[in-house]
Amino acid sequence: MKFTSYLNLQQLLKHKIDSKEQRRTFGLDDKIQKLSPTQQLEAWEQSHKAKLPTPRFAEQVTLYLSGLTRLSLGISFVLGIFSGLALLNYNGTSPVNVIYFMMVALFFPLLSLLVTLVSLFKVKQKKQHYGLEKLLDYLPFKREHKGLELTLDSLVYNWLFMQRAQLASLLFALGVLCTLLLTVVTQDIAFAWSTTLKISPEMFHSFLELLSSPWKTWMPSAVPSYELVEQSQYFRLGGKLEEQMLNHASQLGEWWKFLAMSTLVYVVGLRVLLYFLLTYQFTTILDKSAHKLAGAKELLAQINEPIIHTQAVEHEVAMAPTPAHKIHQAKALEEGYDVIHGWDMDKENLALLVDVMQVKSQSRYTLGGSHTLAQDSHTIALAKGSVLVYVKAWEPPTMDFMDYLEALLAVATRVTISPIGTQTQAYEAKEKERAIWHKKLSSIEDEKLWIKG
Amino acid sequence: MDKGVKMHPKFAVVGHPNKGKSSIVSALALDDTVKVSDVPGTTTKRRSFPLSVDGKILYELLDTPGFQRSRHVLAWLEAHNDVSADKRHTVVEAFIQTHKDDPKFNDEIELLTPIMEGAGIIYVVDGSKPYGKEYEAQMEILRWTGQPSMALINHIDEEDYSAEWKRALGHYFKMVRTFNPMLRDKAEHIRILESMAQLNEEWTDAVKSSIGLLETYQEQMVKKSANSIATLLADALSLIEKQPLSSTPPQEEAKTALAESYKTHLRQQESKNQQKIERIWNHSHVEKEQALLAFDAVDLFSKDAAYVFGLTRKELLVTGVTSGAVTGAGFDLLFAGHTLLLGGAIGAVVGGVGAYLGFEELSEVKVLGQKLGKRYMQIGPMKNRNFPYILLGRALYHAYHIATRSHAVRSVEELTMDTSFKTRWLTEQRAKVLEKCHKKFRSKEENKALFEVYETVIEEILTELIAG
Repeated sequence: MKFTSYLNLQQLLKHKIDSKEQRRTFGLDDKIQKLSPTQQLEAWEQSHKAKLPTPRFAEQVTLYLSGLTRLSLGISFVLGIFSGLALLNYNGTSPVNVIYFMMVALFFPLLSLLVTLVSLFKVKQKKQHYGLEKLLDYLPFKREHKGLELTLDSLVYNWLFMQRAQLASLLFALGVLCTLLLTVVTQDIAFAWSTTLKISPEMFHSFLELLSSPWKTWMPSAVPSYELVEQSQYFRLGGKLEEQMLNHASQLGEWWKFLAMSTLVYVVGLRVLLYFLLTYQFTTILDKSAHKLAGAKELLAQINEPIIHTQAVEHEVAMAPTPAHKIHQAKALEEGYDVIHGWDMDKENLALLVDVMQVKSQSRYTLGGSHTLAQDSHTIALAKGSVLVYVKAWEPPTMDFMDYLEALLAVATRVTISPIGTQTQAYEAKEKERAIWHKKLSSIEDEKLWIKG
Repeated sequence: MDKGVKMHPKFAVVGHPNKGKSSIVSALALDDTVKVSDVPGTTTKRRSFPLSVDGKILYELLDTPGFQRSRHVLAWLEAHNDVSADKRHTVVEAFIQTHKDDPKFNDEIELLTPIMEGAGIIYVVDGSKPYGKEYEAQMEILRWTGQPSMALINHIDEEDYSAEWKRALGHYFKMVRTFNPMLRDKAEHIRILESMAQLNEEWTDAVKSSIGLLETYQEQMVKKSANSIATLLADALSLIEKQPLSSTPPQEEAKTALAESYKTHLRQQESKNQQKIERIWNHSHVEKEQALLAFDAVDLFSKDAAYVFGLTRKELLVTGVTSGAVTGAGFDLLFAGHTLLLGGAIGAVVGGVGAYLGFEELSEVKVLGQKLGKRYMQIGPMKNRNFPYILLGRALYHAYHIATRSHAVRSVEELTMDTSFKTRWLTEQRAKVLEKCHKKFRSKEENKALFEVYETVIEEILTELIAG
């Protein structure tokens, strides 16, 4: 993931610019489904970044950082040139000390490279804070983006800084190398080596040979020979040069090839390698950090997980309230009725019921259930005087029953509805069942209507 | 209907009034918005409950009004039966056409229309009540429609008449199944869906694929719940309440008011989490009357709550010692054992002492900002070591009950506290992980990785609890 994409993604996640349905639609694309989670985040950022206000913060940051980087690179290069000039300063009498040059141009950069590697390991392990994450708060254009509060991952900024620092070091080394080459072309410099330590030419030569191993086979001229090492050693009591050195003055300049190659291989080469390694690592860190951004996990879930919906799409239509009328309640059944009806019952059941309830009547009829409408009409027509209607309490009154009741009320002088329970309930209706019947019957306004209960 | 276009399967849930049609739809559609009422005729319009995945409907359930004048309808059909048996459905269509504007047959038109448009029939009866002949007219009408059908025996009450029902239904339906919508039983739900898939060969794939999706749906809900609970814990433990200071030293009343305000905010956070969990599980209409409020009313800081949901002083001590020892052991490991395992021992002692002292302490009220001149009192973050276990226990208890509550249930959810609940989810291993996370939450230090670990543990617990 690129740094710009990372910043855009963070800003987009903060703004919540789309719905979960839109995210899922995005995720249903075949191309998106084949991508890795990080690539999906990047693809989503790419397709939505146009929604961010322009100039985009991320692009401004990148531009600003590029400017800063270019400036620091320029300064590093100039510093490299000046350092090179100082190191190669040759007054025609004292030769340039190779060890001194190597110390400043080769070993110090190598040491800093080593420190960088160690700190990389430490940063990776312990997530060290260098305070760089606050850098964005001090950017001059931050004011243009009021309310934009990005939570910055310090790890990202540490790696960003280190990556740029490698470029600066690289430019410094190139500055030194360029100065060396230019000085060699424009001046006749004598190189020699000198140290207070008691190092013999054999020992020094072995060390230099070891250093030259990478280019020894394909550029042997850049490996100082033992003779050259021996001839170019000079001591502190110089001022007047050794005779041996003077005899081989033309060869003393040969050192430049070795110095140029060692700078190129150990400083420039390794730094370039480290830069690429850091660039790769920086991308990995950005990828990891992108997954830790607030809302990233949710985004990926919404892109990849199906939206399942099981509920009703429309609201339930409220039932119109029915008028409730007062209904007569009979505490107990009479001893006898002119007619007894059994609604939704067969004859055997009605006979049993009459027997159990001990309510007398000359006329007993069953209606509803398997009877036809014509049969019911005929039975209703026979009803005269007071009618007791047994109904199954557990079966709520349907409109079929209400039609029958309306017709019955038209011919009878009094109609008493008696909801009865099941046989196991000893024909006693439950309170809840009675209430249902009572509520339904109260929609009828008729003085002749009674309910037992 | 265009025959060339393949329609998704539809199932009309039909039957006598008050036999639990709406309850069955509620349970199968996982929707608590369906009105379930004892009063007959509550459902006056059919209502659709589609199971959709990414906007594509896999199948649709239709809640319909009950039969009101079935004998009238059957009489009409028989009176107009001048066709052979293979064309009987046309007579039903003719009935709909003739009576579509007749308010007398509103309910029958509402229930027959989707069937004649191709919906399968799920005929619902109450197996806890005796069979009656009055049902035969309804079943006969449904047979006239010629649509694939099955019968579901629902049990509203305790009595059982399912044997006589099965004998009667067997004459009209190829498939008769029993289903209790009041119990949230995933296996039963799947069994019903499998039966529905068998009604028509063309519907099999769509309905069967929905079975797998219901699993995914539940996983999504568990994940969301785990996230909500983890967020609650992280927020509650790091909560800080501040108040400007008007007098020096601060009066006892001001201190108490600040502590009360702190507790109120914690309770609000818990309440918000509960509402979120209820929304996640489509239980937004769950009735929270006294019994449920009683759950809320138990003081988070009371010793009863600590006993039921949190850890006892002894359990907390063990957790503190082990988590402290684990931290200390890290030092031992770092020095390859040259510390003579003192790190582990010291860690255990420090953890144990901290846990012991932190049992009753909530969080002291401090006066801050003296140097800057703007003095204020502050309470939080939470110091009480047991508080997170109490809060987590309560959140898990609530989530578990909501997740396992059937959508057909309309009664008040009574969350009766049970001391055995803790033993169902809190293992020694989990306590160690949780303790580590609680410590981080208290420090207010953002640690996304640890939060995710916490979320995963809760997800694991919820999955286990729900699976029973």
